[in-house]
Amino acid sequence: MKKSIVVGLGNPILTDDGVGNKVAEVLRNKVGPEVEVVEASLAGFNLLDLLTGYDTAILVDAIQTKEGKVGDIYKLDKDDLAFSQRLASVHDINLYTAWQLGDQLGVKLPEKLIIFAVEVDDVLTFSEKLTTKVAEVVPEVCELVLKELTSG
Amino acid sequence: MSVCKTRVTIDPITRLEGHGKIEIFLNDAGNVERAYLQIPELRGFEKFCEGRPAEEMPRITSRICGVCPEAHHIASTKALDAVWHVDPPHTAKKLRELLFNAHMLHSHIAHFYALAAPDFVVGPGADKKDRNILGVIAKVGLETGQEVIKHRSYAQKIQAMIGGKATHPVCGLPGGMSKPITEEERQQIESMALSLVDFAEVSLQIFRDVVLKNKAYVDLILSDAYSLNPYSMGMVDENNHVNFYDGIMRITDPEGKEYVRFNANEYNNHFAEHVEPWSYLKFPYLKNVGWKGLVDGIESGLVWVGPLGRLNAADGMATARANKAYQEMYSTLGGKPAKATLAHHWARLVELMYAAERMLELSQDSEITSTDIRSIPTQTPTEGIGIVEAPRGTLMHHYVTDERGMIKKANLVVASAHGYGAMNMSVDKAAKGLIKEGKVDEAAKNMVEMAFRAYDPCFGCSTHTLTGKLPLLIRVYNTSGEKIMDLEW
Repeated sequence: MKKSIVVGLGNPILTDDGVGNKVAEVLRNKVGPEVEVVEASLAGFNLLDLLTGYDTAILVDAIQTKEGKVGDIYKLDKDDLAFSQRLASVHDINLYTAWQLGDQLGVKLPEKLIIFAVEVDDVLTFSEKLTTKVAEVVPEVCELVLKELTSG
Repeated sequence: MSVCKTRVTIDPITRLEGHGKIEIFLNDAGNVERAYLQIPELRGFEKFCEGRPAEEMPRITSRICGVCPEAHHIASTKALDAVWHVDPPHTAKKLRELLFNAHMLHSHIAHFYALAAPDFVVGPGADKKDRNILGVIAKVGLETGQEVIKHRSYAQKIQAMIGGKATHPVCGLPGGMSKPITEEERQQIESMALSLVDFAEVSLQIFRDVVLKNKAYVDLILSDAYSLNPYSMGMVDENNHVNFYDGIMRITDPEGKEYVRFNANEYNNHFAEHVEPWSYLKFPYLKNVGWKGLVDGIESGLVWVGPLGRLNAADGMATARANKAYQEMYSTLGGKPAKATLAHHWARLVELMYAAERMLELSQDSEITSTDIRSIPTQTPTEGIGIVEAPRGTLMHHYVTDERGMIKKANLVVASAHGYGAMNMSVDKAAKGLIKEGKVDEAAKNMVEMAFRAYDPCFGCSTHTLTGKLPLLIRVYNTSGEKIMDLEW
């Protein structure tokens, strides 16, 4: 059986940064045993460890873009991250670089990687609550993830 | 559904403004008048903590930062010991130290190979597409790359075994730990630690071969643009050897003489925080030396923390191989204290060796599998300070509770804050030394960033910057204060 993992990325105590965590929390009860749902605050190397061994990986994360509207949902695959083959965090490598590294070193990476990114408002204030517009799109993101899981 | 699938609208500046910014002000001749490093402060932490049970703090504070959750977890747990006036059993302290050293290893391996090595192995002027870990592996070989990944994951596995979870540990309790380790786990840790000691030796050798045998790099490391002369701070044991988990705080002056030593609970007698109008983040400084602005020297109370601060503030390392590497470093750099900002990278590798050796010692300790891991608190909780040496430097947690153990006040001074003044000076000095007559090209920009990167600074909490930009912006201004250039990573 194909193994899938859904990773809600984020910091659950930094307002909208926790949107990935929230999606994971909701999805946990909506998927079968073949799908692992986890929450994580990880980047590059650690994320690589987490995704190793799965056939499909779906990540849900917060994003802030120049012209973005809060609540917009972006669907990306790993090729969309190709422009970012540089350092990500000040202390880690980014996902794309991690992926290439894994490929080079013969790590078994998922064949399919999809990222749902939600345009967010506030990621600098300590709070466990999402802002309204971000909270409103959580069900929609969950639907998109479920659809992606069943599409093979 | 409002799904936008496009590359064009994803402008890759995620969280750039929310992170660091270097502002460089040029004079009429196009030379650098002053450069500033700005780091935003996260809001509302104290309010978030108020009224919560103090026992939750190790789990909450480990969420502040995706880079060093284990350091926050252990600093917080030590603060809880102090709040409840309880001394954990030996085994609990040793397990915490074992976890902490695994964290140090994992962090230092990532920094050296992914962030420091690209500048030296690939070269500071290389195209940024190659100046990353992939470029490093292309030069040093796939086998070394596999060793890096393997040993980083060993350190992660050990953290998970002791901490209960791989990244956000759940093991620390006031007075001890929540679970012991089994003999089988001990054996696994011992075998991984043995391998990590060898890996640390290989890493030191790579540094010798790639950096020390290249005169241009040695000259760069020793150049004035990358030198600084602040106080140095770190935690030491009874022999004044570096310790990351427990001991006494020791500060040495810019001439290398001991300036002061103090226990964690005396922290507030020695540090104050200065506020600058251009920065949200405050500048901690030695209160009894005083704030003299962003300048170094004996009259100015700014400190170096992190690997070089710790090694400067100590008399040596407590394990044999690490101590040998320590002596080699100082004899090459011309004695103590080292003043070369870029020597942080070398110091980090000395610490990598110490962490591996200390982990091996602890894994072979006869008490390490004991189940006596908790002293149940019996006293009324009040107030406490916990300090650890996080990978980036001294990390302090201070809590005040009511008699039921509910948080009334929480204050954290993180490593990158302790080093913020020194980091600013290093960036300023590098900018002044490397940018002349208005010429700010890619190589100059990277070399200014190298001053900042040596510190392995951590700006906050969210490390999973999706679009993968270094969360740093360099902005250049002319004498009229007009922005003339933005240089994104």
